[in-house]
Amino acid sequence: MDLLRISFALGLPWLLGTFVVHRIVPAAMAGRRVLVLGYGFLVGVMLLTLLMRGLDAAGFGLHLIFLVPVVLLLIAIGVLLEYRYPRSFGGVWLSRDYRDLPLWQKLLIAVLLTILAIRLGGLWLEVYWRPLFPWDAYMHWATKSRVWTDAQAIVPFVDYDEWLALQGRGVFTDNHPGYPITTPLLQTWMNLILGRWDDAVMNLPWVLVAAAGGMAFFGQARMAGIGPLAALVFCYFLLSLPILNVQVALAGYADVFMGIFYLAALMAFYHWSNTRLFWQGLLALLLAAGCFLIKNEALYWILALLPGFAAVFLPPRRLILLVGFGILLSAGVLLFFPRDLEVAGHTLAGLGLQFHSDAVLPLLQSLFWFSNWHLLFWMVGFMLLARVIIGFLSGTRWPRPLLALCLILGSAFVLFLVLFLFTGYALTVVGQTSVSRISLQLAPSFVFLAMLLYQDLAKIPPVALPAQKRRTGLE
Amino acid sequence: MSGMVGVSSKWWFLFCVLSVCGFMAVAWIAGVLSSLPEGRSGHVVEWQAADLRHAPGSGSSIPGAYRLVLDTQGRALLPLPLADLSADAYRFLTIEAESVRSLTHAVLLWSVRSRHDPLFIQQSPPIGPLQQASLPIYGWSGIWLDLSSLPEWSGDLARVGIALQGPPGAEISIHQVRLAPDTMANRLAWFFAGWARYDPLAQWSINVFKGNGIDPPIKFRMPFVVTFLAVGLLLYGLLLVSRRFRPPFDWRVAGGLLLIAWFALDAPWQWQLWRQAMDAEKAFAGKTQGEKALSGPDASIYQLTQGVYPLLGPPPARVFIATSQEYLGLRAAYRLYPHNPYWARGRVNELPSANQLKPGDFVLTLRSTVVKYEPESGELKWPDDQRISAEPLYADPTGQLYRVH
Repeated sequence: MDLLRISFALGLPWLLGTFVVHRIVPAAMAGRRVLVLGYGFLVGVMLLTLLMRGLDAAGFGLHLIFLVPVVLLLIAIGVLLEYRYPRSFGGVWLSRDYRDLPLWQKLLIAVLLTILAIRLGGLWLEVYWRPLFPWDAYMHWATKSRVWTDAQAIVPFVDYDEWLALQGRGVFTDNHPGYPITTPLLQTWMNLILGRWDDAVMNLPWVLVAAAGGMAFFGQARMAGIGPLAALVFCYFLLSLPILNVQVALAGYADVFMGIFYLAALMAFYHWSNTRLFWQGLLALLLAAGCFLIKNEALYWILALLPGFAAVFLPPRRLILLVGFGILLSAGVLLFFPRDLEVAGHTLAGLGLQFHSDAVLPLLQSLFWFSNWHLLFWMVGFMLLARVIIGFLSGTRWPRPLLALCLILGSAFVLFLVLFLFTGYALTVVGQTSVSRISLQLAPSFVFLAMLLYQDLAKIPPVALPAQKRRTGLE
Repeated sequence: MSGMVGVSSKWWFLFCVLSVCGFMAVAWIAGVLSSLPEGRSGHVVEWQAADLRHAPGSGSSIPGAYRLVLDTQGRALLPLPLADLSADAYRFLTIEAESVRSLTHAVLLWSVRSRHDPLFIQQSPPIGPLQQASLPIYGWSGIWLDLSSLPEWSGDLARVGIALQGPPGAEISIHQVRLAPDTMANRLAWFFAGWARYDPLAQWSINVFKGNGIDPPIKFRMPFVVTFLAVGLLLYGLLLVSRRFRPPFDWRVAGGLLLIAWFALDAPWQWQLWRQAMDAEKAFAGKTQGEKALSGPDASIYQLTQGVYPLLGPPPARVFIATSQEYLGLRAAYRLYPHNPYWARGRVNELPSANQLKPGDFVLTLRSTVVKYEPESGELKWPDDQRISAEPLYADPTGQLYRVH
């Protein structure tokens, strides 16, 4: 019976989201199925939790008797639309791209798929068996789900002092009452369908978000023209990142959702900037908006998209001027912004801006020395350097969409460095606590960047080196 | 010459050559290629299952193994029969065994014969003091101990044994114990055995994965992998610019090296995840919520909250949690939902002012250092002269529950 309920709980939002994305994505393209399925889960989670908020705000609470029919109704609309305006889910199962591959590549694809199946399967079992474990999950994520599952309504959480002032009437409190509520709502949904509180099974969506991220990544990689083997190799790099895996295994934090949602938004933005396809732009907007529903840090990561927009539309000289203006504006904000005004949960006064030199080495250790990200940042750093050098030697310009992506992730990384080298959060670097969790919100996007750099480097013609030129001259 | 150039342009040939060069560089850095100055070249000594007996604990021979059962205190000792062995002839002790992960600790015990010194009339006892060294039991390929790192491992061996500690009644099956000399093959096997190390998931695991191996020989895996990759790519780069060979650049070579390097880091991680899942299955599979809570680290807190629940009435009762221990506070608060717990993290006085507590509220003290109950006055007292009338309702070793009057 549990298996049926779990399938229902996970399948309904996935189906809902898949129908929505299926309508958005045009038919007939490489990797369409996995792209629709991957983005479908993410959009489905968003829609489900928005529905839950809407129904609760309308006075219906979180009672399944209202919630499930609404979800089923929306799915029925999706079915009806498919009936009236049928659209192919995907092309042939194994296209020519796969059939024409050499045997060793087919074998490698089989090996990688097996590794991924073992990885995700093992994580599924771990989450299914292990009850809620990590610190913050107990402190301020699952607390809300626990109360809402029992009350079958979104009961407000307030800070400690407000709770005392209200004497706890109609309100609850925990350590971070203001955190976005999407992941607790998702846990609540799972428990409501299960019919009981189960702080292990309620975390199964964490496994699915990783799988969906991998599927979306593969689909967008194929959309970018990456071959099936290379796309799968980078997909494997993404899904084998240890911190991503451990955040799934010890489920309950929202960082992995944030990382996958941001990745999905960024990939769609990249393709929109490359092709101006409306549906990619729509997906980018949807998923970027979804980021705000996941974690407060979304504000900073979405702000980092602005340089990317500028790179898409502005000529290089104006872009450089704009970047310079952006730096001046940032300096102005730091100097003149009201110290006590809270933005995304933080104030300038609370951040305590100053350089913490003792955080530099631990930060480098976190990214390069420990196995948090395997070889991801080595790979990205090396490829960026190679692209700069080879581009300089060969005179090859950066494609605008790739430049835009580099600017976005570069800006996000600068914000990341400011947070962990210039604020009180430097302590968390020294103690190796939250630095990896925040890195997880960006790391999946760096895998996408690495893949695009590989594609771009592969297209550059062989560099004419001085030794070659002399030989040519002699001959 | 043209044949060599032709072969060298085959990407798979280059990939294999560069991989080997990378491995050699790693092996050299790890010290695997360099032998010990004093040389430890004794013949391998093996103890098979039939050679093994036990002292504390109980054991029996089974096909291909010796099964050792820890005694009621969770101990077992396995003496190894000796015959004129010199400690200096051996570099490695290796143990092939099953169910080692159920152990909490294992040590090698030994003593050597004292040497007769003609300068002294009164000689030392014939057998020297008992020495011990921890055995690394968290690897993925048997237990390997580098004896050269133990200064006391020198001289003629008088006694050698292995002491095990773990849950009472735990069973360990030992297939073979070996003393092995310092050879290239043994050093490579030792390096491989130390590549992965099992660290059970803990609270800090969600924040960092350091990628430790068993030290020695491997403190962190990353430097070795980066060395492999750097050497391979550097040599490839040199070949690309060399006048003589100049193979065409092929992504499959660089990509293949990267994939091997990534696998080398990912394989021990996958092993750790799989082993962790097995531990989770053993601890939690098939259990109810309550049984899982009792199997986990919060057992005492769960028992306390189960004890106090019937006394709180229907939810949501207001429960003020008083503790300076963050772990206790946050776990207890979580377990009390959907009641209405108040646990203010980091507040020095552990409770708000007394006028914030109303009759009918509850106070749960968890090893509190500042909130005290005075039975004579029937009051709870805490700093800044705060006091409130309360009656004790429940007590266990983890905490006490009071109802405010």
